[in-house]
Amino acid sequence: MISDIFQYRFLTNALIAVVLSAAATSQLSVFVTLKKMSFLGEAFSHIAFAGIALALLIGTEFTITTLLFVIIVAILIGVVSKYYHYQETNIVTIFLSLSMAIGIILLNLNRDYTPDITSYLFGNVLLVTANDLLYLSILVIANLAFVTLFFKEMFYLTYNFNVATLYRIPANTVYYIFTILLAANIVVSVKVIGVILITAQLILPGITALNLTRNIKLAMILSFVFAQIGSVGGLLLSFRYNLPSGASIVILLFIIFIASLAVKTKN
Amino acid sequence: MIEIKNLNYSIKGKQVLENINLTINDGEFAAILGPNGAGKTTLLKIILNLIKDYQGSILVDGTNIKTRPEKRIIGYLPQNETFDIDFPATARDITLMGYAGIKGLFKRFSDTDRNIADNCLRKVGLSGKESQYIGSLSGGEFQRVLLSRALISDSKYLFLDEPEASLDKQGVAGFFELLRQLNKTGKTILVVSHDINILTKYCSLLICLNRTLHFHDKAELFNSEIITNMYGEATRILEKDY
Repeated sequence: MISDIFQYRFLTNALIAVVLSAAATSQLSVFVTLKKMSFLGEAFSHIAFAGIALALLIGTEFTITTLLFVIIVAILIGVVSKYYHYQETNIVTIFLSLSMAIGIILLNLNRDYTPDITSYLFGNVLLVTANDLLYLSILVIANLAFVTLFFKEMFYLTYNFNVATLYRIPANTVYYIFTILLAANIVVSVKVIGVILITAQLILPGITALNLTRNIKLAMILSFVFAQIGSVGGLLLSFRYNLPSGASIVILLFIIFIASLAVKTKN
Repeated sequence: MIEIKNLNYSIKGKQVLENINLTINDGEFAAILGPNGAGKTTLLKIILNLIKDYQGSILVDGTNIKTRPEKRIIGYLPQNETFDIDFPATARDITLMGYAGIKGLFKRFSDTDRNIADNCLRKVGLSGKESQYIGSLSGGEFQRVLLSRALISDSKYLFLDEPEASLDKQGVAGFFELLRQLNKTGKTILVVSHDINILTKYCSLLICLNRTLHFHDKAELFNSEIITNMYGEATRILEKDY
């Protein structure tokens, strides 16, 4: 089956895409899990839906338009919640629903050819282009640079953000960079796994790794390994049994998570 | 020496601190005492340069902290520090947190840094617990880890905000005994607390605050009249039952 994949360019691209996407998101997964940021990941993916609809309507390049859209909305969330003293989660929920509403209206306004939106909702790895592979490669490097350079700061701001600030750790700056990187990972991985399923890829490898070890560096390595097993395995299963790739990846990641619970319970 | 001159601070038009003039000499074991909302924590945060929009001046060793913030001043134990019990940080990791801001961006902790952290943990009586995860420590042990974190910056000042809050009676006595030992080694200590009994027993200087200063002198000169003035009503001191 592996040899079949290398016979066709689009299948090779699909394999490279899932490997890169898993490599990118798994590096952030442990911190997303520890900082309990899954909700923000969920919000970004739904906000990305409106960005995708906008890119389709105005006919611009999908990744850059969607990324800019998500970053602008993320900044708006921060400004509104800080300026008007709202709980950030409440504002995130409002913008999440608003973005979905905007996305649906924008798709409705699109009188031209509208591609199958389910490809974006649930992912279609066969649509991956050379540009997408380039963006994914850049993200892998950017994520690696981030976790290497800011590990100490991320560790302490994840432990307790306010105390990190008291000890003059530049928590705000590092957290903003992390948030932008998180948004970029979601947007770029949307074609691989889809708006609806991307949060699972962002959370499951990290939470599974943390079930097995409390050593955070080892957890990051395990997160990478589980993400690769889930993604490559899920893709191969989807080819073999003609299943949707994004859903297959998530289900395999979930099975690994369930298996890790046995070890956690034993410990 | 810490000198506070003509300090005034308001939040949204409400005066929190009014005309505070105060000197804390080197080697002092000082305590700020007062009712809830008296401005104790605010005063501590101003001295730590965490609040900056005040009127007046704070001099630390003759240097105005507003114009020249001193990085190594951060020997601070904040009030009620919460954490996720499953967070994978060891006692050593949390101690090193006190050094992370000083170390700066893009620099990893070295073996020397880790040895310094272990030495701080030894000073607070936690030798052998360096690699233990914080979730498995008792409340008293965790408080000592936080004290160890406050020590690692090697500041000659140590600031503590209600350190007794999460401790039982025995733990409080042990903790203040430890502070006394640190004070004897030359640390100038400033502690914010509600507990008059423990403060009068261990501290050399009492600062009674309720928006303005009501008392600022040796602990042995402290009496019930000052308490009544500060709390605004007749007050009876009871032994606190934790």
